[in-house]
Amino acid sequence: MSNIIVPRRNFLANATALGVGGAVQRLGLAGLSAAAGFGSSTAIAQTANDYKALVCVFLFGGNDGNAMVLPYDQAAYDAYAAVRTVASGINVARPDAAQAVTSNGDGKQYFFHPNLGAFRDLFRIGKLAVQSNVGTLMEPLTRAQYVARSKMRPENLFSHSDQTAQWQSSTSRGDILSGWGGRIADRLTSANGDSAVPLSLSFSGSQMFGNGITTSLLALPTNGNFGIAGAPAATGTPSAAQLARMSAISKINGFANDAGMAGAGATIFKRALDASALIAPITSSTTSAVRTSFTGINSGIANQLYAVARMIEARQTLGHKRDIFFVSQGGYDTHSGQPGAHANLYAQLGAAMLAFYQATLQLGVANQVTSATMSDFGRTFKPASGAGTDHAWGNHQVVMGGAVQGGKVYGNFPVHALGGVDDAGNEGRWIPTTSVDQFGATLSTWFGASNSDLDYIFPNLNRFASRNVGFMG
Amino acid sequence: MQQIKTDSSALIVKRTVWRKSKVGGGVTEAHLDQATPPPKLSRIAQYTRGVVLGIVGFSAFAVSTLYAPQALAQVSGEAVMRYRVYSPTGKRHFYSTDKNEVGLLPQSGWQIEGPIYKLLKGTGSIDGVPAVPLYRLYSPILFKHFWTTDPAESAGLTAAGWVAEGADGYVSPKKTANTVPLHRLYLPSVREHLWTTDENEKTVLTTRAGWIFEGTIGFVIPLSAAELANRPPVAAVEVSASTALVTGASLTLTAAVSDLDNNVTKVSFYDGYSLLGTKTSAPYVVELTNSRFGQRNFVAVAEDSLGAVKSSTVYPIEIQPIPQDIVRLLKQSSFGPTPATLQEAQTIGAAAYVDAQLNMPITPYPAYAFMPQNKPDSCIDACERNNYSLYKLQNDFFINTQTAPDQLRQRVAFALSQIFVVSGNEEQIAYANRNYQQLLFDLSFCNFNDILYLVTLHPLMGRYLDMVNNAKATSPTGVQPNENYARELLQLFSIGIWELNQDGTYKRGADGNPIASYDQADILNFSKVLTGWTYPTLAGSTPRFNSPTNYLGAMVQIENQHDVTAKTLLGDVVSPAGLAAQPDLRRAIDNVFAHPNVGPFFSRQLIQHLVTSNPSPAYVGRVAAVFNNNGVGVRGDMKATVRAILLDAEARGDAPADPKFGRLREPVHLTASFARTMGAATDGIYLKNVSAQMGQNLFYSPTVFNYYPADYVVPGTNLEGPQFGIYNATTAFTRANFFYQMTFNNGSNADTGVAGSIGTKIDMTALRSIAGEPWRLVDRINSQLMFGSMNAQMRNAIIEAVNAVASTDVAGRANTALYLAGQSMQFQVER
Repeated sequence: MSNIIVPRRNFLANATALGVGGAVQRLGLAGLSAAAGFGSSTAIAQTANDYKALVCVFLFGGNDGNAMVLPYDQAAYDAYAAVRTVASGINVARPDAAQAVTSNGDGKQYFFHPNLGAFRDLFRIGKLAVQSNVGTLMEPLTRAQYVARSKMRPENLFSHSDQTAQWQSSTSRGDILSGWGGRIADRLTSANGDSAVPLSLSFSGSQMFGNGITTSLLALPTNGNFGIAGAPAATGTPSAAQLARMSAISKINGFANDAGMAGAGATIFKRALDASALIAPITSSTTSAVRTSFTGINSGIANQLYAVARMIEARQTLGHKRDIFFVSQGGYDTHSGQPGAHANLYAQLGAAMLAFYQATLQLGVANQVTSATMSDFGRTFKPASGAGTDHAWGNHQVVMGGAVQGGKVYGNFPVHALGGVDDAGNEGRWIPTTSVDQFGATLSTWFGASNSDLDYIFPNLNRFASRNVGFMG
Repeated sequence: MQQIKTDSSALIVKRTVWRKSKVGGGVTEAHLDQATPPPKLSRIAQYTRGVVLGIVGFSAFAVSTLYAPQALAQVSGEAVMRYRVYSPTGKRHFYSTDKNEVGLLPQSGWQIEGPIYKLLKGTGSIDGVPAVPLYRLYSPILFKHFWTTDPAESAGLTAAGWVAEGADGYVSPKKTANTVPLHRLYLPSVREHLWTTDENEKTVLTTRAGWIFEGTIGFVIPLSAAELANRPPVAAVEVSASTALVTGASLTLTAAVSDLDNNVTKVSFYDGYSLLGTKTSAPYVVELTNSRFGQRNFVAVAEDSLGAVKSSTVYPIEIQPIPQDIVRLLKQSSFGPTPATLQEAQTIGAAAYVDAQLNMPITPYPAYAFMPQNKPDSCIDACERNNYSLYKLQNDFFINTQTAPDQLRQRVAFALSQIFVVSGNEEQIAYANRNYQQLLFDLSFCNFNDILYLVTLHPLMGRYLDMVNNAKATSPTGVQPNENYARELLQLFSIGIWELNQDGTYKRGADGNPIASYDQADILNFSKVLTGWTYPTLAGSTPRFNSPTNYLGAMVQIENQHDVTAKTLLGDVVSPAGLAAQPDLRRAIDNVFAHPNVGPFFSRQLIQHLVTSNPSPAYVGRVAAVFNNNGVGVRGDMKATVRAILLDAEARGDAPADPKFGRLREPVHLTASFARTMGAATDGIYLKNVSAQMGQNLFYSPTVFNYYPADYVVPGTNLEGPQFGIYNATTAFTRANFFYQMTFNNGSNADTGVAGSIGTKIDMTALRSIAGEPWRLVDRINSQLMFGSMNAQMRNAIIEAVNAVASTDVAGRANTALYLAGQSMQFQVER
């Protein structure tokens, strides 16, 4: 399974409370004041060096974090291998000690999947952290509370579309109208002045994550032209026919004059046209200082991260001080044949992220760019028929960058026991001990969001004890 | 040569000029026209040549010497007749050697006075004297023509804004034995010139009507005695139609032609100024198919062997547009209306048309050979492409969109393929995918229960969602049955995640929240039901679990891998312990099929695929009611359901009431319908490639959630628009650029590496032929592509853009117009 475009709950049910009004209503007071222009964002210092980028690396299909980061300590590994037996077909063997990494703080040892040597190395130099057992939550939840339904559960657990939407929006119940990356953009977009290119950019098509309430993402190609065929060239004198044609395109689509589908499409088209002149030279360029970092790797995720690096390289052309990027890798819905799938996916992912980190070093912005993985959900600890795993819940994510307080596994690593304290049922579906809100708020704070911004971006954050889980210092 | 301006605006300007002249010169219209013996050259010409048509009456200037028979001039080069025509409204003469041009002028009120003398068509000599050009010039400001043999005068006028239109012909610069002088006269009061070989006319006008003789500009060849005696033919045109006079009608044009001289050589049929066809012998009949809506003005122009030209009177016909209701029906039920389908639906009505479609035989995919799972080394190039990828299947799909008569089935099966998703990303062996898509053809108009059951047992689905080789649990703590198919069966294929009312809205619990329609326990129970199935047994093999991969036939059960414990199904229905795999599955599918969500859940999605993205709850409810009971107690009747969708009041009518009505055409539909509606020739290759670039690689859905989510909401709006899930800044450009490729880049060429490839091209000839007049070009596209739905703003914008392209660049003009119409959101969104 590859990337899914985030759908959301059927709108019909609430057809009377839609649009921005509906969104604001759901956001409560914080959202209302924000929409009214109060409690506005932290002013971002307008200095040349003040640039930051946040990169969301979405692993579509539900990455099995249980196979990405594993306990190395013998007793813990044995508990793992007792369920994920060799016979199940999905066991990851315990490597020799040279492969193990030690987490700062409690000193526990872990190891990464053998095809994620890049993660291991970045972890060791302190540029990569693991946030363990993070996931969608309405409020803190224990196994007992989950079983008794005494606290709110997220809706539609274990569903790809719903959990993906919840991860991207940090909204686990009710209508989902915007993504948290987009809401960061809502608050910080002024940092980019009047650039025709939005703060939130996707190299993976339309995604909830980057669409805010007042701002929208722009979906870009990883390479090639980004514009209208037959449009006037950047240089030279356009013909009268060309100019008339371009003018007609604007008139015909009557940009946003139509309340229906045509107007909606025209609005998207217009935003693309507005950004074309700035973006096209970047995406169609075949030269870049960071090309060398990506030499020899051509996976989809590598191509996307290469495109991100080129955007960062062109940040001054774009007039940007803040960028949020969405990239993705699909194929993690490993119901069967998991080891073979992981071998490919993780090799591509590790190489691409390492190359990207190197590119940020080349550009001198390693400390200003943070990348974080996300995914639909974790997967059952218990193996499924066919050497696979099924949809689960809490999951491990990695955060990479020069500003990351790396070399540490954050959060509460789940107890690997079916029906154990962290299991929602008996198949090893971990109940998250850190929420998406906390995970996102930690990144947002680093990115420049103020405390009041956080209330706007993560309306549910106040239900959790900590607003910062530490991996960004 | 530019055709003389004869449109109504030009005539108005002529009158304006005329009135200005009156003021300045004091000559009244009445004075020229009637008070003095009128210098009506038409009468002179007609009288003197004995023509029996038109105005026949007294002329004071009947002079017999003018065209006295003379010996034939010795000519090297081709002699052509020069005609004189007269506009009674413009009070002006016009001259031309172009018979086609002359033949068309009567439509604008001009009268053909007939051939008056001859010129050389090209260079040559007359009576041994080298001929010189007679230049024709046109003033776009004065809307009139001027002729001269003086190159200096021609150059001077050109410098003053006149447009040189080339040579009308060649004349002798001096008197020869067999030529007559061509005089130029001028009437200063009205600033009009007159050219004549008629000495008497010259005399009368200069002595009695104020004209000034400006000299003889050359010498021309007089008509022969036979030509003078010749009588022009008489033509009348009649139109008959076998069907109603609506868009797409077939018409028969018949010209009744008579000629006293019996020397007719050619009859040309025109619609206005557009040549429809010519006939050189009786019967003078042309057939017109696929007529466009609007006013048609048919004219026949007859010529005879001695050069006489005669127009019939105009036969006007109003071709009615196809009712928008019928156009909409064809948009909803096919990959684009065609003249033939519009005619059929218009003739028999929407209900009968839908019924005919529902009962039409299947246009199947071609049979694909079974291939071993491991590609033989000998299978390379075309073999590999056709059998181990979906290359050919995609092409076959697109060809069906263009030509299959059972369009409704094609549309419904395509919708089903986007609900019951399998993907080439998982398995792209061609015969398996072909068989799966063929199964959807076969099941489109059967029962939904059969779709659920047979899709479930198709080995390609088994492979995609892991039901194949799904084993019962090894032990309570060991490997568990795979949940994948169980979950997507419920979430995507049948009931969805929320309990629904019959109208598709959510049921609500006491707390006001929607109610989940199943929970994880249901998934676990269904995952147990769905154990014990493996690939169909290959010929020569023994049935066993983990049977070798094979997609011929349905999956087979291996009982010792089936979980025989009791299962609790939806609605707490218990399926007892001990059931074998097949009866256990049958009960489970029946259990799912009986769930009240199925009707609204499926009906709403099918409405979204065929008609509109935001159907009202009432519409969903009406269709779901038919799904639930087709009227004779059958649940899940696909024919009845499709019929209810298409014939519902919310789908029918000339215009959708709700501005939010409609659906964005997804890439496959956009490209296929543009090609089909424009009558493109295509092998499907480019269409599938460009659709993939737009985010829809046919039959390679990125996930089981289809290319786009069924409940996608367009960001920033309260509109559901599933197809907007793949409409973004990048694909917006790809889509617009598709239309650029199809027009300015002349589509796509044949792939020389593919047998039978013809590329994808639209024949632009007809559009180019009317590109001289931007409004006609745009109206034609409005009629052909958009069926009259183009709004005035868009029409004006396109006309403006077309006008910016040189009138000589007819290809550029046609491309501009069609490109702009195609890329418009008015076309991309189907309403």
